Amino acid sequence: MNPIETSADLSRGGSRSFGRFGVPVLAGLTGLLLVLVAFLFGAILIEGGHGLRPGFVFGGTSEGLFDPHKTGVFPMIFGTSALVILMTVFVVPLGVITGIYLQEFASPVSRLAGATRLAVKHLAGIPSIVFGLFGLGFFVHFLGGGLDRIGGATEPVWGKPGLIWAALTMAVLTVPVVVVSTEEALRSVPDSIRDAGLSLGATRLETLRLAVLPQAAPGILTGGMLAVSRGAGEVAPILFVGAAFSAPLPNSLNDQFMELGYHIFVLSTQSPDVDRTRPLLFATACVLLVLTFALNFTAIWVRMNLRARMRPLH
Amino acid sequence: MRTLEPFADSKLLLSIMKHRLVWVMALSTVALLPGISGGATIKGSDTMVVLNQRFAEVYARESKSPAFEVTGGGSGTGIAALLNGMTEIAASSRPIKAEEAAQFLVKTGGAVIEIPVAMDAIAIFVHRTNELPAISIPQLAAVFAGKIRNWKELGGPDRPIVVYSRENNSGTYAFFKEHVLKDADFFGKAQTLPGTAAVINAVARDPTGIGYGGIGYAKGIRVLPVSTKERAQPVEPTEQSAADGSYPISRYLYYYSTASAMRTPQVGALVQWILGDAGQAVVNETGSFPLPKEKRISVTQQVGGWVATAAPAIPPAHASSATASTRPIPAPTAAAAAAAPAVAPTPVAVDPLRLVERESNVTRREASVAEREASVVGREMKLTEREAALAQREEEAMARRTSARR
Amino acid sequence: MEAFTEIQSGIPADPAVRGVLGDLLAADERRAEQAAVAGMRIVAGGVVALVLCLFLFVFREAWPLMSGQVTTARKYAPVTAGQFEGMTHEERAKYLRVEPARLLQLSPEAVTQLAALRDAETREASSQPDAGVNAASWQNLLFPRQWNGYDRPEYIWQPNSKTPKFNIMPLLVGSLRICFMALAVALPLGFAAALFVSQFASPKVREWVKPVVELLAGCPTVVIGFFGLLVVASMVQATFGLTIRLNAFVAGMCVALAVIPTVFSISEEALSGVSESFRDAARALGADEWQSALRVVVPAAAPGLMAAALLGIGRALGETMIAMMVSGNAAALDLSLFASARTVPATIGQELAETVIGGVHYRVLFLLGAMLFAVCFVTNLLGSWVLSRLRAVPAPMADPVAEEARLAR
Repeated sequence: MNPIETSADLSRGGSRSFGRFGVPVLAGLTGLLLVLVAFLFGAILIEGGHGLRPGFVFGGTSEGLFDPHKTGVFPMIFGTSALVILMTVFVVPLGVITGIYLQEFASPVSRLAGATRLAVKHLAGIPSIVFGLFGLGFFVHFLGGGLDRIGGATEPVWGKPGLIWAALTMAVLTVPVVVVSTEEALRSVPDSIRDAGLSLGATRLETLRLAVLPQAAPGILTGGMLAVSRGAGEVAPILFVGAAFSAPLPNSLNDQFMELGYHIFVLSTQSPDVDRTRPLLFATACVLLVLTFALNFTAIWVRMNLRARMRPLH
Repeated sequence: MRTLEPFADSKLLLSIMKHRLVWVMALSTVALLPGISGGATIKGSDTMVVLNQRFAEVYARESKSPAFEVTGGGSGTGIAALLNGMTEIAASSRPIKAEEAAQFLVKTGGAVIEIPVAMDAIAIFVHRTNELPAISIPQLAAVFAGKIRNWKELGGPDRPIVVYSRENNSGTYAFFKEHVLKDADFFGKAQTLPGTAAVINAVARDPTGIGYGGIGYAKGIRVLPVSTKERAQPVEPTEQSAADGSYPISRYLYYYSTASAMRTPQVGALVQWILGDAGQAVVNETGSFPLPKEKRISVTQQVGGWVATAAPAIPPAHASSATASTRPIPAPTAAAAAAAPAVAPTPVAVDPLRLVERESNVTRREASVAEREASVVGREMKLTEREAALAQREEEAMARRTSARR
Repeated sequence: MEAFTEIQSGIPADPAVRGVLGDLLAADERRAEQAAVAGMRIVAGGVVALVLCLFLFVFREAWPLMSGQVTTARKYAPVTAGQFEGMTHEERAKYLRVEPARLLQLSPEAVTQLAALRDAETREASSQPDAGVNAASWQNLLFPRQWNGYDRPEYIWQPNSKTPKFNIMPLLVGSLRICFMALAVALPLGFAAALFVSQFASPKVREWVKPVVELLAGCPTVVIGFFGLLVVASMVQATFGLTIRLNAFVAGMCVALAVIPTVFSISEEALSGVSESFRDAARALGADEWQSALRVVVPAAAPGLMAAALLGIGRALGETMIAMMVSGNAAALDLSLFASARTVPATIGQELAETVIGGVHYRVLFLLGAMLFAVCFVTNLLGSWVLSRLRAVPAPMADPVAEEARLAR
């Protein structure tokens, strides 16, 4: 389809007059989208904000899970943080190294690079519940059960849902985010820097370490934060790999834990008196949203900062 | 050069960040030391999940031990987790099926242990404004199987009935299916909701809705009295009517566990605490019904036996599957029950290692006793079989004689 | 400065050319570099291995069902105690459905109990008229069947039953209904917003809209689901006067909220990526903004828009949490938008935990997972193919004037 040919029709007046409606319609639809988003976030933040008191954010659930005035979400925040930190420990090295390899060291015809790019692209498209399937069947049952059999345990120690398996499942889920962010960050560093480094006698690795990576670091950090925000928000993979309805603070890697997203799901479906629990529900959702927003805003701020730094180089 | 400035900034920033991050991450991962987890897990029924959570909480407070980890997912999930070796206690709002008990036997070589911890009545929920006076079991079966689809067929206004049900991993679902629908399939268009609370939430907002679930959650909706047949007297679900069986859909709520888990101090002590006064008071709090007195006494005795010995008693085969000819042979509980005192719910301050050693000695001795009993039982069984075969041959001989005479 | 520009313009990173310099480097530096690159190759290979592992694992668990080796048919064969005594070890193992090796390990007491349980179980199951039917055959997985107690053939998904029924058509149709509804809302909104933002909006508006949509992308789907359950469902019920509060319509609207960011960002990228020269040419020929956008830019970006739609489909089909909370979860084959639906991911999410590993239900759920995997794989592939093959005009090469203009904006 050669666009230049169709332009021959442009002199016809019909679409000109339609254009008067076209743009306002588009603007209206965009406005509708913005209104929907504002409605979603506004309702949750406003109605949830009422319930946010220090006792709620830092309190525990020892007084019961469903009383809006007495319960707290600290165990959930702790659990989510533990999950996300462990996940980062697994995913960041894996993702960053893969991204560096793909962008810096792989030749365009390398089969390994092609396979890796394909793998990362498809990993990004897999629905999150399939990761849950994989986590339960492979990590919990195969690896965990195998560890138990080798260790000769009679009671389930590793072969049951736990923090480590949930973190590994989430790490597999967020690998594409980190890889793509790393690649983008490295791509945004101009080649002149690499050439300059090489011309000064540095090896490729030294150039990378001393000249390119520091430049790309903010972008890679952005990627890490986006991965963390995704990890904190996805619930489907951890439904049966580690999240519990009620558990004490996890203090070993095979403990189950309470998680913010899973708790919202549980509150929506298990709370005995939904009208009474409604403020609690909104408050918990508000906490999760604020956490996600904080991560996303920081990522955006870091990326904007990167652009500001890069401008003088152009 | 101007171009070097950003390098300098980023490098410094990067080095600072690297150090702090590394410390934070290292500390947090070291803090989460790998090891045997402190708490055991209770997994299963969504009907019981609030109850389990209260048990875990109050027990942890009273016994100063680490709290149990409680997960929902439905009774089927709990039993499957027990079978797959992923939990110590499975909470179930329906009795274990013969197939599951068989799988358990194959997998672990021992029978599954069944402990009723509370009683529950399945209540039928309708909207506050629904004026239907009562409903019978046959009518319920027809409604939930999709044969009756309009309220006018039940004597109400001419509006379609919206059926709310539970997901099929729910024990409540299975129990309702077996005892009310008599194993017929649920209506295909019934909405399946993940939890009794969700059912109540839905029915509370739907004037034409009908749903079912544990009595403990009933708030904001109307509970229908149920009669066993059309003309029979309808009964409201209360503790009394559930206990004496006059309310037709009442049931026990169970904990299932393994013999080895019962012998661990945590699980054994928890179960004994639940069967004590403190535990049953918690049951009352959460809206389910405590066990009736005689049942409580007999279960406590059985549990005492399981906590102390190696030979688990066989759970009685349930009404739907047991017949006289296949009654399983009773385990040698006589010797075991005599040996086990009623253990107090609060643990004595004894050196735990010594306790475990003593327990394992006891276990070994009891195991050899059980072995001898088992061989005795085996021999008895062969004896009775031979007698039965003998009796059969005599009968055949008699039959031949009578036919020969004719 | 001159020396710098000279160096900047000249030296390639090709090691063969750099070889002269390379000799000057210490040998162990080079070895360290090679080791590092080898290590990176291993890590990248690890990622590929991970995806392969995922693929193989899911399909391996579903394979026995796909190849027809799994059956739910049961026959009752009465075995008295005497007959049981007389059986060989293998026959007994077969009757008790135990591995012969495992049978040896069980105590006599356990064997008796097991015999009693199997007896009760097979008698119970066989009292069902449909006990001999294999509910896990492809015939019964896909086509309707008139089961006992029904007056016509129906598609039934009831895995927890004395006669389990595993027809997956209600689940597939439910997924498609919600996907259709979600795309019906997400595609117009997403495309319209992308077109507006890339072609007509002032830079200030663009600075506001893009971050807002990115925020929506970062919103956890469980929050959207909870919002749908509590707020949107009530609103929709009040507006349309529906009897069924949780239905495919509400679920579709909420899934659309989750899909819009994907559609928006990909189509916006595609539309912005169309070179300025196209618009300039159109303007030069007398078109106004609207005409040049609609008649020139959109067709040029068509591959990207198609890819956005395909990825949106994949995302909508794979959405779990919203479907679990808001769709009503009725596993019935119904084509109406205002009836409840049950999607494939929601079924897996609700039922996987209750299956016994290796059982029939477990394998059917893995089959569903494998199908989901395959569909998303195919949409992904199609999207990439569309982008690479159907691109009418090659991506604009470094057009320094245009790039500078864009950056200055």
